Amino acid sequence: MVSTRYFQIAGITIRVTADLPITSATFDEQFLPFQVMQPGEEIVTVHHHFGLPTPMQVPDEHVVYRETPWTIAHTNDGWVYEGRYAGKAGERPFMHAMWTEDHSRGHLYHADNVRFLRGGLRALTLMPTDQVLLGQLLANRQGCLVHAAGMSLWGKGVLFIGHSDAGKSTTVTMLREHGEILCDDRIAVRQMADGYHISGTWCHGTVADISPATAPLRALYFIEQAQTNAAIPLTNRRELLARLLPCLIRPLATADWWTKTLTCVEGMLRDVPAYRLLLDRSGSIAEVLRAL
Amino acid sequence: MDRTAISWDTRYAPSAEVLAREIEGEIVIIPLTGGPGQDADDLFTLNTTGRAIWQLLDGQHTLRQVVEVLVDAFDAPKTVIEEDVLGLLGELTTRRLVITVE
Repeated sequence: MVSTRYFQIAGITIRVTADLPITSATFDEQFLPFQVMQPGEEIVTVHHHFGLPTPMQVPDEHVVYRETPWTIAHTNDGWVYEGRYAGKAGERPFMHAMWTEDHSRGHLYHADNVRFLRGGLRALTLMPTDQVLLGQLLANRQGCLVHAAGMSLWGKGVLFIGHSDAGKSTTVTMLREHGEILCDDRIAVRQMADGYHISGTWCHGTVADISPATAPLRALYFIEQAQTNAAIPLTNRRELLARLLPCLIRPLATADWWTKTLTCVEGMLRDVPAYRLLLDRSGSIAEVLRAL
Repeated sequence: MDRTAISWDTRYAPSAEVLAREIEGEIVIIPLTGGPGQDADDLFTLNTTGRAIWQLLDGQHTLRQVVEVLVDAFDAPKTVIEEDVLGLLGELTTRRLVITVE
């Protein structure tokens, strides 16, 4: 038996299939806004198998990354990810995944079906996070995944960027009444024919509001705590680059991934206005942003 | 880096595990050893002087030649350029971003 669910994110349909039934309880309710009945044009397939393949083969000569719990190999056929728990009794494999070169199709083998049957899964890949997959998919589509909060604010897509605890979640919460929160922690960026667009993801932080909506990216705001509210244009692209690079979410960062991602970043620096956003957390920042 | 161990006749080149890309006039040096979920604090950007030094660490120029080229290019005292070269080389070797070339 194979059951199927479709999830749409940043214009990409992730088709999830499994050897066991996928029920309404299999995945966490955070995925509900992203679930669609029919796939779009860009389809990625993730298939879950239960029981590890024998023998598992991670060809040593192709290993490009090895740090507990993950070993990743890049072969002529694509990518092999192997996850192993390290315990007192030695290492125990829990996952073996085989992806095509572009990560558009993956066969994911799990050591058991316990977590899947328990339900409430918070990643479609059953990995600790789907960021690894999303980072690869977006890089292959003139995009990237950024550590930022995003909103559609008066119909315009804006990113609030800052380190953890900088106030991203607080900012979007303060602005909630003026637009739609896409996500408070991870935002997908894609370059389309008419410019850059941002989309919500299910990888949220403390704010549970998430949306699969997409909005044209009109501003990058780098958050700074202050005693006042103000938006100061950032025109020095080198400074912008230094601020933006640490915010990229990296999957396995290969030369190819970096090359594609930096092309996306360069375009954002060129095309999207950026500001230092001084915030006093009073909430009156909305007036500043509306005036821009 | 032990500066007394430096030979000015040594040639250096970028490691194969490094990607360098020019963006907005800066060279961003990216180690390719990072795995899933790693932070970006190992990215390395070079200013104007660093960029000039990096471009001469091409496996062709000895350090002595690197200094000579830069003294001419920047019209700066040799001792200042030597300090810049050694300073950057120390960073680059510590991060294993360059290798020596026989």
